[in-house]
Amino acid sequence: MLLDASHRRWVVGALVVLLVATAAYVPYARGAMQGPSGGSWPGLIYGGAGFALMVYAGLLGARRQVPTWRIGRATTWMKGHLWLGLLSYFLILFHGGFRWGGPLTFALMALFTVVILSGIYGLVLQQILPRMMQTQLPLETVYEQIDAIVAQLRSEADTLVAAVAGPLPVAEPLPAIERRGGGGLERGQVLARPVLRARPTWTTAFPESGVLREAYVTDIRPFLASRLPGDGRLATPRQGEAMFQHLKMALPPALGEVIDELQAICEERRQLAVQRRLHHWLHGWLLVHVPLSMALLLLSIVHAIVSVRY
Amino acid sequence: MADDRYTTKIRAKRIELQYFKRLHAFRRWKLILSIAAPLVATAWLIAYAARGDQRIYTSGPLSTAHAMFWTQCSDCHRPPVGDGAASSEAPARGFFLRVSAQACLACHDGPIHHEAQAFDPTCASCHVEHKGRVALAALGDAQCTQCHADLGTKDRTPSPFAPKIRDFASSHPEFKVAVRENGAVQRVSLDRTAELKDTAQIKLNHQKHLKVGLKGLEELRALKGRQGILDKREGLQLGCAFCHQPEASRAAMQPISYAKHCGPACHPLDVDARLSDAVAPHDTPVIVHAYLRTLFIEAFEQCQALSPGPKTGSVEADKVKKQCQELELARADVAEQPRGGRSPSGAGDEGVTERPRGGRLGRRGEETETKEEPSGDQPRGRRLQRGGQSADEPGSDWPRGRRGRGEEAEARTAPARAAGASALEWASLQLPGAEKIMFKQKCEFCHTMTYAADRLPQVAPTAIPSRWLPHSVFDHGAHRPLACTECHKATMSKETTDVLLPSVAVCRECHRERGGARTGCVECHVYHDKTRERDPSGPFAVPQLVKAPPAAGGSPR
Repeated sequence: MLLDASHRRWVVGALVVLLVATAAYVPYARGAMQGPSGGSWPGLIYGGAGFALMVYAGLLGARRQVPTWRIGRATTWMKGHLWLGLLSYFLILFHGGFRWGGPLTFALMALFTVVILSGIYGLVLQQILPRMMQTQLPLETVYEQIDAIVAQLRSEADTLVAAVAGPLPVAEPLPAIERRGGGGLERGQVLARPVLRARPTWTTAFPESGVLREAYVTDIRPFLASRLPGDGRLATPRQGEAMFQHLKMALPPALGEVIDELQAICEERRQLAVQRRLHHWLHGWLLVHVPLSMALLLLSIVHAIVSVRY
Repeated sequence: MADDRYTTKIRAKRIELQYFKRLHAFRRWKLILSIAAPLVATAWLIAYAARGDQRIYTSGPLSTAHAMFWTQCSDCHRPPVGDGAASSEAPARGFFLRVSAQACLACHDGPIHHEAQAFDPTCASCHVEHKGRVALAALGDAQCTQCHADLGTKDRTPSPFAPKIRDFASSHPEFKVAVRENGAVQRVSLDRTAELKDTAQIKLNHQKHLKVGLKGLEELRALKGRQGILDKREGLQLGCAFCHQPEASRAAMQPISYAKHCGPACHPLDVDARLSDAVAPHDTPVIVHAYLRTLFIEAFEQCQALSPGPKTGSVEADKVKKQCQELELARADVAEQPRGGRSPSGAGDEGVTERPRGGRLGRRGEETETKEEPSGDQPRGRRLQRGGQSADEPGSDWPRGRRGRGEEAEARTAPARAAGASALEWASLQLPGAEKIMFKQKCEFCHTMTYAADRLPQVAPTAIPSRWLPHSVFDHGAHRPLACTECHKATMSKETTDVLLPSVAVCRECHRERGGARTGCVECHVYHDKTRERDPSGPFAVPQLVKAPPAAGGSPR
């Protein structure tokens, strides 16, 4: 979520609460005979408030499971998740008097710290990466469909090269990707590249196309696999550019459009690879943030029950 | 490279419309981990629960003293039962299990602080557990100042103690020492110099004792070793620690003892120069009197038994003969003279009176050290029965001799009566002079003596205080880096009555806020009145404490 002016009220509200909590904490901590404690009345109030905010922040996941419920806008929930979740950490610090206590409370504070830090990390990434993707990845697609689209790109490239260079050797099959159809394509159907759509009758193999065929089988087709090879002539954009320039010079001008099309396919493949990597950066922290939040909430409930009892 | 013919709309045809209905690997892992993490947490809790170990729920490590109880919360967290519940604590029932005073008192005793204290706090309100490896008794000042900042009493009468103490630095009153006078102990503030005096009834000039190059220190060091004697450039100096030796705990000092610190080496109780080996016991005048009388009787008998003639060649015999000659009791020399010899207050006194009052350092060595035990331990003391009544018996005359059981003993030894009568007669002649020297010069050198006609003198009972400040504790061991005289101005003290305790201002030179030594109340004061503690034998057996099962029905007492 981008931090913009719409967050101002949340930020101010959270800061005001934090200031009030701090103003109350200082005299409490100075006056407490044995120092601040989670079991004292102020400590319990801080703990209760902090726990309530933690639960609220945790409910964001549940809210997402039922997007149709009219219980506030998703953006409002997300803003609350951000600022109230952050506020809850300070309230819990006040609750424990900045001590991490025994094994359970230590685990709780460690989990909470990791959850908060991972959330902040994710928030920072969300300020950077989406903008980067917007400018650098115009061919971005749905992350979950990347493998399926890569497979389609290869099929499209196979079709294109076969059209000008004759039948291709049987390729190593791509991992089975279930596609039930949808969008504008039926199951197994491949999107025709623009050059083929513009010249649908272009079916004669060029005699000089052996170079293209060899380059395709050796370098381009492996690049259109579901996992990018670490080396090869298309390993970097500059190398790819050089290779396609070389093909253009080696092949008749009539095949220039085909080479441009292949280059476009490779570029799209490259962008998808970058998108996958950025997506992992952008959402990978959730693999830490969400599971640990679950454990944190569970252990917090246990801690609350046991602490109140003893 | 994007082609305007290859639009987003065209590319969107590749997207499967229902793709979100299947979990992609990323979302699948997120779900798996979201389930696994709470499961792992639950397994952690279950594993501890299965072992009956509740230590994970502690809010912090237990203090070292309670470390053995930290696997079972219920050892301490249990509701008070029956009459043992402290009146000041709310009864815990049902779900809530606060620590009750009863749980603490099962092992501990918490005697009341003061009879008149306005309220009696619960144990846990001061001694807060789960704060780590700290001393539970190391409380903050606020625990004390909640009462002492505005001290009230249970019955609302004025407290005899300083009513408003907020901290050590600013509002702690001047120390008050316990001064005993006329049998009553008064607490006198150190700043009330007119009333302040040491009533120990021992004459001591600290300044003189601490003088560098004090006469006799060489011999003292040879006799007692280097301990407590400082080797300074200007010469030897008696150190404070020669007399003021710490106890094993180093906190307090051992009592001053004549035998250890004053006696045989520096201030010997030698009787008479003619009886070179005779050293009187450091005891009451009655015992000293009896000792002297026995000493002279024995000397007389020894000389009577001496065979006349020239030197025998035996060192011991020659020594005795020489002693007898000095006492004018040798037969060869006194055959024509009337018996009786010289009184020790006569010519024979010369050897004594010319000696400095400090005595003869190291003349007799360690074997001559006298003990302060009753006279029965003295080798010569046993013989008191032979010559007169028991030393403990009141009404002992001075200087007359045999009475009571002594007469019965005399009757049983009838054949020796004639010789015995002569010995008594001679000893009675010697005693007044010897006792005058002993009491006037030896005893009175340190003690306050009172005299009355026809009675033995009385020694004012000594009362060197073992505790000057009974309401506080002081640890000399913790102050080892400091020279004694930094706090106790002994080098300036000439009078016995000087009280050499440092004032509160001296303590504040070090014990101050911001960079100083600690200033907490508990550094010097103890809350619970330890004199009221119960019998130290506790109620538990080892297996009960080691296994630590929750005690059914509350306290095992």
